[in-house]
Amino acid sequence: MPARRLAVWVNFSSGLLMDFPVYLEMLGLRLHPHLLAELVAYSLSFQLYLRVRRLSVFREATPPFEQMMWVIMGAMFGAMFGSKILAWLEAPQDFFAVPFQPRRLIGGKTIVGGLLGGWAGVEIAKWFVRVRTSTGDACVFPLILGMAVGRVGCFLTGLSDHTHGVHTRLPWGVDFGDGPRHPTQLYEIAFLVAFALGLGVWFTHAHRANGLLFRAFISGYLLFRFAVEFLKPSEKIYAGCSAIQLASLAGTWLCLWSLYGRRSQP
Amino acid sequence: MTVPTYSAVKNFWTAVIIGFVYSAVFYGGGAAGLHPGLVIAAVALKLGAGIYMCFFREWRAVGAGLITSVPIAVMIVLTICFAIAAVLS
Repeated sequence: MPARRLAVWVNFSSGLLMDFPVYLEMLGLRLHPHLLAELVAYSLSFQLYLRVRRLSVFREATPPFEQMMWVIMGAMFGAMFGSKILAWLEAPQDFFAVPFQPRRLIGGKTIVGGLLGGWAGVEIAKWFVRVRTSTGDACVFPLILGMAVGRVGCFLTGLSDHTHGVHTRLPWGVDFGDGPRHPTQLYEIAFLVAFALGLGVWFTHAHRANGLLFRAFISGYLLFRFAVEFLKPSEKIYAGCSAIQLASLAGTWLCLWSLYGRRSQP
Repeated sequence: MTVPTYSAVKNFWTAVIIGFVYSAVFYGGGAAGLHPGLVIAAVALKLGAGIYMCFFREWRAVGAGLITSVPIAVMIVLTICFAIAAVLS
Protein backbone atom coordinates (compact mmCIF):
# COMPACT_ATOMS: atom_id res chain seq x y z
CA MET A 1 0.00 0.00 0.00
CA PRO A 2 1.53 3.31 -1.02
CA ALA A 3 2.36 5.63 1.82
CA ARG A 4 -0.16 8.39 2.20
CA ARG A 5 1.21 11.85 1.86
CA LEU A 6 -0.14 14.75 3.78
CA ALA A 7 0.24 17.89 1.76
CA VAL A 8 0.76 20.91 3.95
CA TRP A 9 0.70 24.20 2.12
CA VAL A 10 2.47 27.07 3.74
CA ASN A 11 1.74 30.36 2.00
CA PHE A 12 3.86 33.33 2.89
CA SER A 13 2.22 36.58 1.89
CA SER A 14 4.42 37.29 -1.14
CA GLY A 15 7.85 35.73 -1.25
CA LEU A 16 10.53 37.88 0.36
CA LEU A 17 8.25 40.93 0.44
CA MET A 18 6.44 40.11 3.65
CA ASP A 19 3.63 41.88 5.39
CA PHE A 20 4.18 41.60 9.13
CA PRO A 21 2.84 39.72 10.99
CA VAL A 22 3.34 36.89 8.52
CA TYR A 23 0.35 34.67 9.15
CA LEU A 24 0.84 31.07 8.13
CA GLU A 25 -1.96 29.29 6.32
CA MET A 26 -1.89 25.57 7.02
CA LEU A 27 -4.68 23.08 6.37
CA GLY A 28 -7.14 25.92 5.97
CA LEU A 29 -6.20 27.55 9.25
CA ARG A 30 -4.67 31.01 9.57
CA LEU A 31 -2.07 30.67 12.29
CA HIS A 32 -0.29 33.43 14.13
CA PRO A 33 3.47 32.96 13.60
CA HIS A 34 4.37 33.48 17.25
CA LEU A 35 1.90 30.86 18.42
CA LEU A 36 3.16 28.32 15.91
CA ALA A 37 6.85 29.01 16.54
CA GLU A 38 6.39 28.94 20.31
CA LEU A 39 4.57 25.61 20.26
CA VAL A 40 7.14 24.12 17.85
CA ALA A 41 9.93 25.47 20.08
CA TYR A 42 8.45 23.92 23.24
CA SER A 43 7.89 20.57 21.49
CA LEU A 44 11.28 20.36 19.77
CA SER A 45 13.31 21.45 22.78
CA PHE A 46 11.48 19.00 25.07
CA GLN A 47 12.06 16.15 22.60
CA LEU A 48 15.73 17.10 22.34
CA TYR A 49 16.01 17.25 26.14
CA LEU A 50 14.60 13.72 26.44
CA ARG A 51 17.27 12.49 24.02
CA VAL A 52 20.17 14.52 25.39
CA ARG A 53 19.66 13.48 29.00
CA ARG A 54 20.12 9.82 28.00
CA LEU A 55 23.74 10.56 27.06
CA SER A 56 26.01 9.03 29.65
CA VAL A 57 27.82 12.29 30.40
CA PHE A 58 24.52 13.91 31.47
CA ARG A 59 22.92 10.79 32.95
CA GLU A 60 25.64 10.51 35.57
CA ALA A 61 24.74 13.94 36.96
CA THR A 62 20.99 13.35 37.03
CA PRO A 63 19.58 12.66 40.51
CA PRO A 64 16.74 10.11 41.04
CA PHE A 65 13.42 11.21 39.57
CA GLU A 66 11.82 11.43 43.03
CA GLN A 67 14.14 14.42 43.55
CA MET A 68 14.29 15.56 39.94
CA MET A 69 10.52 16.15 39.71
CA TRP A 70 10.78 18.89 42.34
CA VAL A 71 13.64 20.43 40.40
CA ILE A 72 11.48 20.43 37.24
CA MET A 73 8.67 22.05 39.21
CA GLY A 74 11.04 24.71 40.53
CA ALA A 75 12.28 25.41 37.00
CA MET A 76 8.74 25.81 35.65
CA PHE A 77 7.51 28.12 38.40
CA GLY A 78 10.76 30.11 38.34
CA ALA A 79 10.61 30.51 34.56
CA MET A 80 6.98 31.64 34.70
CA PHE A 81 7.52 34.24 37.41
CA GLY A 82 10.91 35.36 36.07
CA SER A 83 9.70 35.87 32.51
CA LYS A 84 6.66 37.83 33.70
CA ILE A 85 8.35 40.00 36.33
CA LEU A 86 11.14 41.08 33.99
CA ALA A 87 8.59 41.84 31.24
CA TRP A 88 6.71 44.09 33.68
CA LEU A 89 9.92 45.84 34.74
CA GLU A 90 11.04 46.25 31.13
CA ALA A 91 8.04 48.37 30.18
CA PRO A 92 6.20 49.29 33.39
CA GLN A 93 4.14 51.93 31.60
CA ASP A 94 2.60 49.20 29.39
CA PHE A 95 1.58 46.92 32.23
CA PHE A 96 0.77 49.32 35.02
CA ALA A 97 -1.05 51.89 32.90
CA VAL A 98 -3.80 54.04 34.35
CA PRO A 99 -6.54 52.87 34.60
CA PHE A 100 -5.02 49.64 35.89
CA GLN A 101 -6.09 46.57 33.93
CA PRO A 102 -5.14 43.23 35.54
CA ARG A 103 -5.56 41.50 32.18
CA ARG A 104 -2.52 43.41 30.87
CA LEU A 105 -0.31 41.65 33.42
CA ILE A 106 -0.89 38.31 31.69
CA GLY A 107 0.71 39.41 28.40
CA GLY A 108 4.46 39.68 27.75
CA LYS A 109 7.32 37.31 28.51
CA THR A 110 11.09 37.67 28.37
CA ILE A 111 13.64 34.95 27.67
CA VAL A 112 16.22 36.49 30.02
CA GLY A 113 13.68 36.55 32.86
CA GLY A 114 12.64 32.98 32.07
CA LEU A 115 16.25 31.75 32.14
CA LEU A 116 17.21 33.55 35.33
CA GLY A 117 13.90 32.75 37.05
CA GLY A 118 14.13 29.11 36.00
CA TRP A 119 17.70 28.90 37.31
CA ALA A 120 16.67 30.47 40.61
CA GLY A 121 13.69 28.08 40.86
CA VAL A 122 15.97 25.10 40.23
CA GLU A 123 18.47 26.19 42.87
CA ILE A 124 15.71 26.72 45.46
CA ALA A 125 14.18 23.32 44.69
CA LYS A 126 17.60 21.64 44.84
CA TRP A 127 18.24 23.21 48.22
CA PHE A 128 14.94 21.84 49.52
CA VAL A 129 15.45 18.29 48.23
CA ARG A 130 19.21 18.35 48.98
CA VAL A 131 20.51 17.80 45.46
CA ARG A 132 24.18 18.71 45.25
CA THR A 133 24.98 17.96 41.59
CA SER A 134 24.44 20.40 38.72
CA THR A 135 21.41 19.58 36.59
CA GLY A 136 21.54 22.31 33.94
CA ASP A 137 24.09 20.92 31.47
CA ALA A 138 21.54 18.66 29.76
CA CYS A 139 19.25 21.67 29.21
CA VAL A 140 21.73 23.82 27.29
CA PHE A 141 21.24 22.55 23.74
CA PRO A 142 17.45 22.10 24.08
CA LEU A 143 17.24 25.67 25.37
CA ILE A 144 19.29 26.99 22.45
CA LEU A 145 17.08 25.12 19.96
CA GLY A 146 13.87 26.37 21.58
CA MET A 147 15.08 29.96 21.76
CA ALA A 148 16.23 29.99 18.13
CA VAL A 149 12.92 28.56 16.87
CA GLY A 150 10.98 30.93 19.13
CA ARG A 151 12.86 33.90 17.70
CA VAL A 152 11.67 32.92 14.21
CA GLY A 153 8.15 33.54 15.51
CA CYS A 154 9.24 36.88 17.00
CA PHE A 155 10.70 37.92 13.64
CA LEU A 156 7.60 36.90 11.67
CA THR A 157 5.35 38.73 14.16
CA GLY A 158 7.09 42.02 13.45
CA LEU A 159 6.59 45.27 15.32
CA SER A 160 3.88 44.06 17.69
CA ASP A 161 6.33 41.59 19.29
CA HIS A 162 8.58 44.46 20.50
CA THR A 163 11.75 42.45 19.74
CA HIS A 164 12.82 44.44 16.66
CA GLY A 165 15.78 46.80 16.51
CA VAL A 166 16.12 50.53 15.92
CA HIS A 167 16.04 52.07 12.45
CA THR A 168 19.10 51.47 10.29
CA ARG A 169 20.41 52.22 6.79
CA LEU A 170 22.42 49.01 6.66
CA PRO A 171 21.63 46.88 3.59
CA TRP A 172 20.25 44.00 5.67
CA GLY A 173 17.74 46.19 7.50
CA VAL A 174 14.22 44.73 7.46
CA ASP A 175 11.13 46.83 6.85
CA PHE A 176 8.57 45.67 9.39
CA GLY A 177 6.15 48.33 8.11
CA ASP A 178 7.73 51.59 9.26
CA GLY A 179 11.10 51.65 7.49
CA PRO A 180 14.23 49.44 7.71
CA ARG A 181 15.18 48.29 11.19
CA HIS A 182 17.88 46.05 12.67
CA PRO A 183 16.49 42.48 12.54
CA THR A 184 17.68 41.77 16.08
CA GLN A 185 15.69 38.54 16.15
CA LEU A 186 17.79 37.24 13.23
CA TYR A 187 20.99 38.45 14.94
CA GLU A 188 19.99 36.38 17.96
CA ILE A 189 19.28 33.28 15.86
CA ALA A 190 22.68 33.64 14.16
CA PHE A 191 24.38 34.08 17.54
CA LEU A 192 22.60 31.06 19.02
CA VAL A 193 23.56 28.81 16.09
CA ALA A 194 27.22 29.90 16.25
CA PHE A 195 27.22 29.68 20.05
CA ALA A 196 25.74 26.16 19.96
CA LEU A 197 28.43 25.03 17.52
CA GLY A 198 31.16 26.61 19.66
CA LEU A 199 29.82 25.11 22.88
CA GLY A 200 29.42 21.72 21.20
CA VAL A 201 33.02 21.66 20.00
CA TRP A 202 34.32 22.92 23.36
CA PHE A 203 32.18 20.46 25.32
CA THR A 204 33.36 17.44 23.35
CA HIS A 205 37.05 18.35 23.58
CA ALA A 206 37.46 20.16 26.87
CA HIS A 207 37.14 19.14 30.48
CA ARG A 208 33.51 18.20 31.23
CA ALA A 209 33.11 19.78 34.61
CA ASN A 210 29.66 19.39 36.11
CA GLY A 211 27.68 22.61 35.62
CA LEU A 212 30.34 24.35 33.55
CA LEU A 213 28.47 24.04 30.25
CA PHE A 214 25.30 25.58 31.69
CA ARG A 215 27.18 28.50 33.21
CA ALA A 216 29.13 29.09 29.99
CA PHE A 217 25.85 29.16 28.07
CA ILE A 218 24.06 31.47 30.50
CA SER A 219 26.94 33.96 30.77
CA GLY A 220 27.56 33.97 27.00
CA TYR A 221 23.90 34.46 26.14
CA LEU A 222 23.38 37.15 28.77
CA LEU A 223 26.43 39.09 27.55
CA PHE A 224 25.04 38.91 24.02
CA ARG A 225 21.66 40.15 25.24
CA PHE A 226 23.28 43.00 27.15
CA ALA A 227 25.00 44.13 23.92
CA VAL A 228 22.12 43.60 21.49
CA GLU A 229 19.66 45.46 23.71
CA PHE A 230 21.48 48.67 22.73
CA LEU A 231 20.16 48.07 19.19
CA LYS A 232 16.57 47.86 20.45
CA PRO A 233 14.25 50.81 21.02
CA SER A 234 13.43 49.65 24.54
CA GLU A 235 13.06 52.06 27.44
CA LYS A 236 16.47 52.59 29.06
CA ILE A 237 15.02 53.90 32.30
CA TYR A 238 17.40 52.26 34.77
CA ALA A 239 20.63 54.34 34.76
CA GLY A 240 20.70 54.32 30.96
CA CYS A 241 20.00 50.60 30.74
CA SER A 242 16.87 48.53 30.28
CA ALA A 243 15.65 46.06 32.89
CA ILE A 244 16.77 43.20 30.64
CA GLN A 245 20.29 44.65 30.46
CA LEU A 246 20.54 44.99 34.23
CA ALA A 247 19.22 41.46 34.68
CA SER A 248 21.72 40.22 32.08
CA LEU A 249 24.61 41.86 33.91
CA ALA A 250 23.45 40.49 37.25
CA GLY A 251 23.06 37.00 35.77
CA THR A 252 26.52 37.10 34.19
CA TRP A 253 28.04 38.20 37.48
CA LEU A 254 26.25 35.36 39.27
CA CYS A 255 27.58 32.85 36.71
CA LEU A 256 31.15 34.07 37.04
CA TRP A 257 30.88 34.16 40.83
CA SER A 258 29.59 30.58 40.98
CA LEU A 259 32.31 29.46 38.55
CA TYR A 260 34.94 31.10 40.75
CA GLY A 261 33.42 29.36 43.79
CA ARG A 262 33.70 26.01 42.02
CA ARG A 263 37.32 26.62 41.04
CA SER A 264 38.30 27.55 44.56
CA GLN A 265 36.80 24.34 45.98
CA PRO A 266 39.47 21.75 46.85
CA MET B 1 -1.39 -11.99 39.75
CA THR B 2 0.66 -8.95 38.81
CA VAL B 3 1.88 -6.57 41.43
CA PRO B 4 1.22 -2.95 40.45
CA THR B 5 4.49 -1.08 40.04
CA TYR B 6 4.97 2.49 41.12
CA SER B 7 6.59 4.64 38.45
CA ALA B 8 7.26 8.21 39.52
CA VAL B 9 8.30 9.23 36.02
CA LYS B 10 5.13 7.91 34.39
CA ASN B 11 2.85 9.28 37.11
CA PHE B 12 4.48 12.69 37.04
CA TRP B 13 4.30 13.24 33.28
CA THR B 14 0.79 11.76 33.05
CA ALA B 15 -0.35 14.23 35.70
CA VAL B 16 1.35 17.09 33.84
CA ILE B 17 -0.54 16.17 30.67
CA ILE B 18 -3.85 15.76 32.54
CA GLY B 19 -3.38 19.11 34.26
CA PHE B 20 -2.50 20.78 30.97
CA VAL B 21 -5.52 19.30 29.17
CA TYR B 22 -7.73 20.38 32.10
CA SER B 23 -6.53 23.97 31.65
CA ALA B 24 -6.84 23.82 27.88
CA VAL B 25 -10.44 22.58 28.11
CA PHE B 26 -11.28 25.08 30.83
CA TYR B 27 -9.83 28.15 29.14
CA GLY B 28 -10.40 26.98 25.57
CA GLY B 29 -14.01 26.17 26.37
CA GLY B 30 -14.59 29.75 27.40
CA ALA B 31 -15.49 28.93 31.00
CA ALA B 32 -13.05 31.58 32.19
CA GLY B 33 -15.05 34.19 30.32
CA LEU B 34 -18.19 33.49 32.36
CA HIS B 35 -16.78 34.94 35.56
CA PRO B 36 -13.24 36.27 36.32
CA GLY B 37 -13.22 34.36 39.61
CA LEU B 38 -13.41 31.06 37.75
CA VAL B 39 -9.83 31.57 36.51
CA ILE B 40 -8.54 31.64 40.08
CA ALA B 41 -10.90 28.83 41.13
CA ALA B 42 -9.64 26.52 38.38
CA VAL B 43 -5.98 27.09 39.29
CA ALA B 44 -6.74 26.81 43.03
CA LEU B 45 -8.56 23.51 42.48
CA LYS B 46 -5.61 22.05 40.57
CA LEU B 47 -3.07 23.36 43.06
CA GLY B 48 -5.15 22.16 46.02
CA ALA B 49 -5.52 18.68 44.56
CA GLY B 50 -1.80 18.54 43.77
CA ILE B 51 -0.71 19.67 47.22
CA TYR B 52 -3.12 17.24 48.90
CA MET B 53 -1.75 14.33 46.84
CA CYS B 54 1.81 15.24 47.84
CA PHE B 55 1.04 14.13 51.40
CA PHE B 56 0.74 10.50 50.24
CA ARG B 57 3.93 8.82 49.09
CA GLU B 58 2.41 6.82 46.23
CA TRP B 59 0.50 9.84 44.93
CA ARG B 60 3.35 12.31 45.40
CA ALA B 61 4.52 12.20 41.78
CA VAL B 62 0.95 12.73 40.54
CA GLY B 63 0.55 15.71 42.87
CA ALA B 64 3.88 17.19 41.80
CA GLY B 65 2.86 16.73 38.16
CA LEU B 66 -0.46 18.52 38.70
CA ILE B 67 1.30 21.43 40.41
CA THR B 68 3.93 21.58 37.65
CA SER B 69 1.20 21.75 35.02
CA VAL B 70 0.09 25.15 36.40
CA PRO B 71 3.03 27.21 35.05
CA ILE B 72 3.16 25.10 31.88
CA ALA B 73 -0.51 25.81 31.23
CA VAL B 74 -0.07 29.48 32.06
CA MET B 75 2.75 29.79 29.53
CA ILE B 76 1.27 27.68 26.72
CA VAL B 77 -2.51 28.00 27.05
CA LEU B 78 -2.43 31.75 27.53
CA THR B 79 -0.17 32.07 24.48
CA ILE B 80 -2.76 30.19 22.45
CA CYS B 81 -5.57 32.36 23.82
CA PHE B 82 -3.67 35.56 22.98
CA ALA B 83 -2.89 34.33 19.49
CA ILE B 84 -6.55 33.47 18.89
CA ALA B 85 -7.58 36.87 20.21
CA ALA B 86 -5.03 38.53 17.90
CA VAL B 87 -6.39 36.66 14.88
CA LEU B 88 -10.02 37.44 15.76
CA SER B 89 -9.29 41.12 16.29
